[in-house]
Amino acid sequence: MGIRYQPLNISNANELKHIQRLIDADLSEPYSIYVYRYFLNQWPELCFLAFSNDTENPVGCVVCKYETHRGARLRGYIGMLAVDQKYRRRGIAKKLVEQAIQKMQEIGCDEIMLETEVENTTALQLYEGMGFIRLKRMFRYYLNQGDAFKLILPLTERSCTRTTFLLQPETAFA
Amino acid sequence: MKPESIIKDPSFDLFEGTHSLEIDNLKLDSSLLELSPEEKRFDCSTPYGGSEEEKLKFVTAVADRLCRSIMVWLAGFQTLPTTVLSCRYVEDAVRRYTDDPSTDLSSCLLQTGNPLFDQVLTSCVVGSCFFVKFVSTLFKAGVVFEEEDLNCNTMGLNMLSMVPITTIREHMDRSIALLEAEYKHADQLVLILKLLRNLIEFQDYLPSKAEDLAAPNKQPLLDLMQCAQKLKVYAPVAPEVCTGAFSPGIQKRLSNQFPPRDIVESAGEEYEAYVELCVDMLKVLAVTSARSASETLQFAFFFNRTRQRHVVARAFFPLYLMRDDQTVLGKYTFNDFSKEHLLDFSLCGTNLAHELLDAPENSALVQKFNEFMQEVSGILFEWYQNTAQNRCRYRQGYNRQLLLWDSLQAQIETFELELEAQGIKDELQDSSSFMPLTTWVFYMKLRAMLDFVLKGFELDVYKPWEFFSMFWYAYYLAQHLENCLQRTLGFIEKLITSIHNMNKKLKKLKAGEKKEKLRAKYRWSMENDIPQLNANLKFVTYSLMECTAVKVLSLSQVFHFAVLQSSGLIDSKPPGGNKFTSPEFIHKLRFKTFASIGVPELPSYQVFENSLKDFTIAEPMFTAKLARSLAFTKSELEGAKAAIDTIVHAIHVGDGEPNLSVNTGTRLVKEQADAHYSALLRTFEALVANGQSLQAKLGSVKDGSPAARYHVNVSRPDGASSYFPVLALSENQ
Repeated sequence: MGIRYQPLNISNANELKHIQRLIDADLSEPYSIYVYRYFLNQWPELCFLAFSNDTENPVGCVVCKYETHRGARLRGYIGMLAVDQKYRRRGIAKKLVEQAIQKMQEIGCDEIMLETEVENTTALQLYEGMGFIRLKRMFRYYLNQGDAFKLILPLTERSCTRTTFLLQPETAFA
Repeated sequence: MKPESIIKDPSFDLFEGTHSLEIDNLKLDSSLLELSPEEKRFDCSTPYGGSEEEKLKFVTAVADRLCRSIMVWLAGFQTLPTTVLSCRYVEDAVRRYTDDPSTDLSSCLLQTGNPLFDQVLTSCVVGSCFFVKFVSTLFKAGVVFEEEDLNCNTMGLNMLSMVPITTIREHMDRSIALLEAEYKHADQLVLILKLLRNLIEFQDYLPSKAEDLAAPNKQPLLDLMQCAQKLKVYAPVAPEVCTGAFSPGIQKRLSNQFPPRDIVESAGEEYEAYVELCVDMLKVLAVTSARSASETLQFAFFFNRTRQRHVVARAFFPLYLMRDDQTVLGKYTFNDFSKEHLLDFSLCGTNLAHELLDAPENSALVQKFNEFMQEVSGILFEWYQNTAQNRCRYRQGYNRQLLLWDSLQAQIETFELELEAQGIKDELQDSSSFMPLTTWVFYMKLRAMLDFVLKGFELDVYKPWEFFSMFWYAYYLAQHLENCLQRTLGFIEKLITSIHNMNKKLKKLKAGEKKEKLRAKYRWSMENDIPQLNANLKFVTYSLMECTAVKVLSLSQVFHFAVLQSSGLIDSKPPGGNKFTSPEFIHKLRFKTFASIGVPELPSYQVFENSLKDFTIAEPMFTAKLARSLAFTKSELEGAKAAIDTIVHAIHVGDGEPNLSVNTGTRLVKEQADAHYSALLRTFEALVANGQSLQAKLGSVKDGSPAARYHVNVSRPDGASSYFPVLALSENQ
């Protein structure tokens, strides 16, 4: 069964609905339409969908953004990732994340960040297999009371330098 | 407006986004909450229950659940609307009070016509609300964190802000008297009222007046604990006894800025949580008995370490210690408290300390020193506040602090160099400069760095492939700390010797002015410096023993990793991390916190790489080398274990014992310090056992395929220190 990956078509309202469907089915956090619009309208190029040959609707998606972090470095952020239950264990999530990271790297991101539940070993395995490391643990981060890890993948040397030192006049982010 | 752009305030970020609500979305619109018919019908002006017995049963059920809901809120880290405010009687009372706030309770009394409701249940409600007000005060002080530690969302309701505690006390006392006089079978309800009656007294623990210098009155905590112990025998009353009295309806009826949430039921452990709260509050209050700065420091270091304390106790501790009147425990000014820390470690008996005593208050020396004490106070208090944080924030707090300590060290070192140029100098035995202020700052910084690194193991922040670099770095830091402590110890010994030598000199001197001057100096030093120097000697000896133990434990972990790496069972490189990044970037990101620290300098990536190579065992004679390496580790572990045995013995015997060579400063946190070091002792045993296991499994033959038979797993042996998880071998299935 072939899987194709393509960026979001922001003008297609159906795609937004499918993203909501995929995300709402899995995530513990309830997201408002504002959150989806916040990501998709501002960074449509950082949302990728996975389509299977056997169905019309997307079976997976990744939703990201990038912004200047504390005025010092460009930080990509993976906000949401979901794959339809029936299509798991086929490497779809990995491929979606790779596409998103590649795009963020092209844009010039210095690092990619995300949070994931401490108990979500599948997600941890996926991201840590790509070079993400756990930077810190956050106490009761999610509504379900669980702790979370903040994971970061460094893409450039700037990711490895403290913000305070990047902000010194000669090195400040342009 | 551009098509497809979104309307938002420029300052809105993802945080606002994830907290946004959505009308007509069942998960996000609390106006869509469906209430049961019982919830809709519930009327706070009806005295539920047919007979008096049934009314008592009903009121007891509501009071019990309300009382439990306070601990569900705090110990279960839940929100107010899903716990205390879900009680219809609470909602009803505080809504009426909010509409008509006053210094009495006239606007929030129940009016059913039955005293069990109008008097007794009202007491339970106002007592609970008064405690919520106290917790809100703690919350507003900003010590603990919103949501993750504490939710104080009162939904805009006024929690009896103008009602004085005396009014609440009197109301509750009348209710207890009424029950005891007229209701024979109200034992449980009396206990609940008494518990709440003691709970409102928490407010008086907040230091606000001059008379707070008096020892805190612990009786309310002891009485509360007794009530909670007795209430533990009662099972939670079945919810159907008071159906409708607890409801998520407040989220629907009032302006709600959060998604709708179910009310949280009792888990049955709430009275035990009250006991824990009292135990933890009593522990915090004990800090007032600290006899020295080092005892206060050790108190803070241990009190929240082996078990995360109740959130109320954690929020309370810094406020109780560092008070609004700019004193510490009402005893010291902030500057004096900071200076005490220095005197308790490296400043006592130095030329600088003596100059400070002799110099006038308005001298440049004293003024400059005081300026530094202000700097020290700022960072030191951040350190103290950090000790009360939850286990995750505790580590993050260090991340910020390290820069502050490092910057302070650089500044204070410059100051001491200036002093040396003016002739105010203290030297070690080898005539090198001691610098008592810099030494203390360096000690505090290294302690924080080590704790930051090792706490990461407890929080599972490091993957097994990172164990080598993290433990090797811990070993590196411990070496620096060990040097710092050895210097300090040597300096203190030199001072003590020089004071004792004055007596010998005195005997040789002829009578005269010179002799009298020396005699006066000797007497002064014996009276003022020697007791403190002896105490410092013992404290630094203890610190050195602990540091050596941490160093050896870290080194053993490094050896075990190297053995596993030598057998091809683990690698220090991230798995599959080369597509978007590099092992070097990942390493640098991990050590970013330390990259900016001036001293000790962070070794380069290459140094880490090379050191692993140095530890790696290779053919020829793999088996013999492995045996030698593990035998060395074992003997180091046994030596360091003896040091921890000494510390544990000192904790048990107590710091006052004159024959002890160490002073742990743990008199007020004996149990916690004992648990901490006993866990280290079990870690020694676990590492020795792991070494033996590695040797048995890998030592006999190195056939090149141990990976086919074994895999590495992270083991956390029972009772062992969470700072030192063990890399163990398991057979492949």
